Amino acid sequence: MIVLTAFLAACTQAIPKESLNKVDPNLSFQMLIKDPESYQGKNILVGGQILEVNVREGESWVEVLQKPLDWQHRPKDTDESAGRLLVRFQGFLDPAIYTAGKKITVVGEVQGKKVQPLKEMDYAYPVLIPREHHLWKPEDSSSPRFHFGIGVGVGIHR
Amino acid sequence: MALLAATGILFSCAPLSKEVMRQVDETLTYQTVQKNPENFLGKTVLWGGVIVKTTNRQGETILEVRQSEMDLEKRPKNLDSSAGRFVVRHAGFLDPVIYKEGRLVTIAGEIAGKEALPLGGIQYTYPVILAKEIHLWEKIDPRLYRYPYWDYPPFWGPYGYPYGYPYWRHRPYWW
Repeated sequence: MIVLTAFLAACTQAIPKESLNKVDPNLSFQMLIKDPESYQGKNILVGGQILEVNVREGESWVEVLQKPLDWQHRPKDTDESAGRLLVRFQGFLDPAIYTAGKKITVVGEVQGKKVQPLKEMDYAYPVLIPREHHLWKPEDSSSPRFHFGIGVGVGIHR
Repeated sequence: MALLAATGILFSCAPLSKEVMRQVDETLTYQTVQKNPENFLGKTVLWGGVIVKTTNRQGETILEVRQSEMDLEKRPKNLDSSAGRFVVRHAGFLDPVIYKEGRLVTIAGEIAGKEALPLGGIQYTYPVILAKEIHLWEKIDPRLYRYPYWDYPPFWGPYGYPYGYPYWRHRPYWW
């Protein structure tokens, strides 16, 4: 039974333990967005919905709308959000895979902030350098998460 | 007494806080105010509708809303009929990805006058309200409102739950 539970838990781990251990448990996104620069160098676990991916030479910037996470660290389907952030990936992330609307969970190091126009205003985005991330499959969010099954096994003994 | 209790329940159904609901003058419907917003300056109204456009300025968000009737819960209904549009000014940032075109809102706000803005080829005069409280209604997922449970097609997989999803909208099997 214990083995089974451990196995299930391992199955649902989107972000490996080693990365989670580096996360600063006292740092919430709500704190970060108010003053990104004062948390430079700290690691945070954050997730949300992808809004846009900008691919540049050698790096890809993913704009994310933060959403609260569930117990699996999956961003919830909710209107609740504390704001937006930018995740600065090294290398190329294909915008056809990291499409707007998909959910992503990131463990990243706070690099600082970046001010970018958003409609007619300027928005100060916290910028993260990702250590670990998980892109959720679109159907992950809409299908029920528990499946119980009863199995009957037949064995032949000789 | 029963009436009082019922009224109490109805009030508690409204999605906005009691403090704000107390200030609202429910007789001031959109239709009443629309022609001459200036006559009602400073009054608090409760209107609802569908977001048409969201504009973010520094320190301010402007929602353009297409008015609709509201049900008892103050949720916009009969969305295809509308008496017109209005502008809501909110001091602060509302994310345009959340407060998006097509979403339903119910707003308590103070009448602040009118504003003429281009709409298609005409100048449209919008009543302007300063938001005191905004309630954004959750999106209704059409999948949740397919069939009543007794008429639900048998559907068992791959993720099938035979009573539809989510399960709490339906009776558990032992009832």
